[in-house]
Amino acid sequence: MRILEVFETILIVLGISAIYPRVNIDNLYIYKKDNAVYVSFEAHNLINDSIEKIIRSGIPVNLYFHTSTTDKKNVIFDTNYIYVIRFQDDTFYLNGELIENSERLITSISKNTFVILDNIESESGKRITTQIDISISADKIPNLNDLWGNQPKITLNYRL
Amino acid sequence: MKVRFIIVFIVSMVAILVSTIIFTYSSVLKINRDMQTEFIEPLKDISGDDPDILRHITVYEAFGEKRAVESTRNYVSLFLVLLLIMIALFMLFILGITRPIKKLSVKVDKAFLRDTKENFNFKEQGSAEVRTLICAFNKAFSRITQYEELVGDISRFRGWKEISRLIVHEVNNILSPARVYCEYLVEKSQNEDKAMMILKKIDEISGVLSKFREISHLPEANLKKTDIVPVICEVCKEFDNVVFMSEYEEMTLPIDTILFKEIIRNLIKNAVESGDSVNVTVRLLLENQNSVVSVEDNGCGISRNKLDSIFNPGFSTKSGNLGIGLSLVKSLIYEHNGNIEVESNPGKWTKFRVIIPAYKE
Repeated sequence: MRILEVFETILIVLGISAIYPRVNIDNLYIYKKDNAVYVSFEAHNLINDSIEKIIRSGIPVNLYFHTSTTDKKNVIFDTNYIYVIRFQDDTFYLNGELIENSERLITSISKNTFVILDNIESESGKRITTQIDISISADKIPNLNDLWGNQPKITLNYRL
Repeated sequence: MKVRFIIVFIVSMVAILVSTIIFTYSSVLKINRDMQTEFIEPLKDISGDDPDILRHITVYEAFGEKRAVESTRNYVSLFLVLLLIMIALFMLFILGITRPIKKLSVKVDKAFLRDTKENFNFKEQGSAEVRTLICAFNKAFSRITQYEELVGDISRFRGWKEISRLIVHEVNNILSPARVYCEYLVEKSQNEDKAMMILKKIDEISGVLSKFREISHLPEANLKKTDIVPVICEVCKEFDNVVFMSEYEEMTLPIDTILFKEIIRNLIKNAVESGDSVNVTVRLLLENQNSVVSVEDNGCGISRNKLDSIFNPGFSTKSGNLGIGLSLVKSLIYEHNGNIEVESNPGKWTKFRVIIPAYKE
C-alpha cells in the first residue's frame, strides 16, 4: 500500500472519510414561476461505479427525490420525484426513455428542476421550509443507500 | 518528565492504532481477494450466463469494500478495548508503585528536614515490593531515631564529664585555701563552734565534688571478653541485703570491667536508697541471645509519670541527691552497646533490666 492509500484507509476506518464517493449538491437555485416555487440544482455522484455495476447487471434502480414543504407546523406540499433506471440489451433506460450511454444518463439525472410548492398566493408572507431527501433503492437490495458516501439532503428556508 | 511521558504515550497509542488498522485492513482485503479468486470467479464460470446469479455476484462485489471496512472497524474496536483495559491495568499497577513512593518521599523529606521528632511509621501500602520498601524505611528510621537518642546521651554524658572536671578543678582551687584558713580558725578562734560549722559545710561541698570527680575521671570504655558473674558478685558484696542469683556459673560478655562495676554499683545503690530496710535482688538471665542483669528492690517504687525522666541528668526523686547516677548508668550501658529498661509498681517494687548483647566471634 502506498502512503496515500494508507492515509486514506486510516481515515475511512476511523469514519473521517467515506468509503464511496459523496453525493454533492451545487448550483442550487430557487425561483417563483407560474404561481409555483421551483428549485434547480445539480447532484453529482448519484451513479458511482458500484451502483453502475449493479444497474449494468440488470437490476432496476429507483432514484427518489422526496420533497416536503412545510410552513410553521403543517405540510403544505409533499411529493416524490422518481427516476427509474434500467439496463437492458446493453442500453440504459431512464423512466422508460432510451439513453445512449452512461455519461448521458449521469448528466440527465444530475440536473434537476422540481416544483417544491404550488399555489403560492395562499402562502404569501409565510416562512416556508422545504426539505428534499435523496435516496436510492432496488428490489432485494434495501441498503443501496450505503453505496453513497453520505445521505444527501437539501434544506431550504425562504419567505414568500 | 510528565509531559515527555504523555507525548511518548500518545505517539505509541497512535502508532499502535495505525499499525492495527493497516494490518487488519490488509488482512480483510486479502480474505476478500481470496474469496474473489477461489469462490466468486469459479462461481461465475459455473453459472454461465445465468443473470440472477450474476446479479447477486455484482451486488456482493459492490458492497465488498464496505464489508472490508466494517470488519476492520470491528476488529480494531475489539483490539482497542482490550488495549485500553490493558493500559488501565498497567496504569493501576504503575500508580500502585509511584503513589506510595511519592507519599513516602514526602514523609521522609518532612521527617528529615522539618520535624525530626515526628514519629515515622509510614502505612504499608501498594504492591508487595513497595510494602517491603516501606517496611525497610520504617525499620531504618526506627534505628536512626534510636541512634539519635544514643548519640544525644553519649554527647550529654561527655559534656557532663567535661563540666564535672572543670567544676571539680575550679571549686577545689577555692576550697583548698578556705579549708586551710578554716582549720586555722578552729585552732585559734574563740568562737570554735562557728568555725567548725564552716569546716563541716566545706566537707559537704567536698563530698558533692567527689561525685563529680567520679564522673570526670571515668575512662573511655575498653570492651574485653570478661566473665561477668564474679564481677557482679564482687559489687554485690559491697552492700548489705543484696542477693545475687544466677543460673550460670560463667557468662562471658564484651565489657569494660571498671565501667560495668560502676553500672551495677549505681543501680544497687539506687535500689538500696529507695526505702528503709530494702531487700535488693540481682539476677543474671539469658534472653534472646542477650544477657540481662536485673536489679530488683521492694522499695517505694517510681510513679508512672516520673519513669520517663529518671535517666535525665539532674533528675532525682530523693532530696539531696544530684541525679547523676542513673544518667551515668544509661550512658555507660550505651558504651557497652546495651540498653536499660525500668518497670515499677509505685509503693511496691522497682526493677531495672540491663540488657547487654551476647558476645559474637
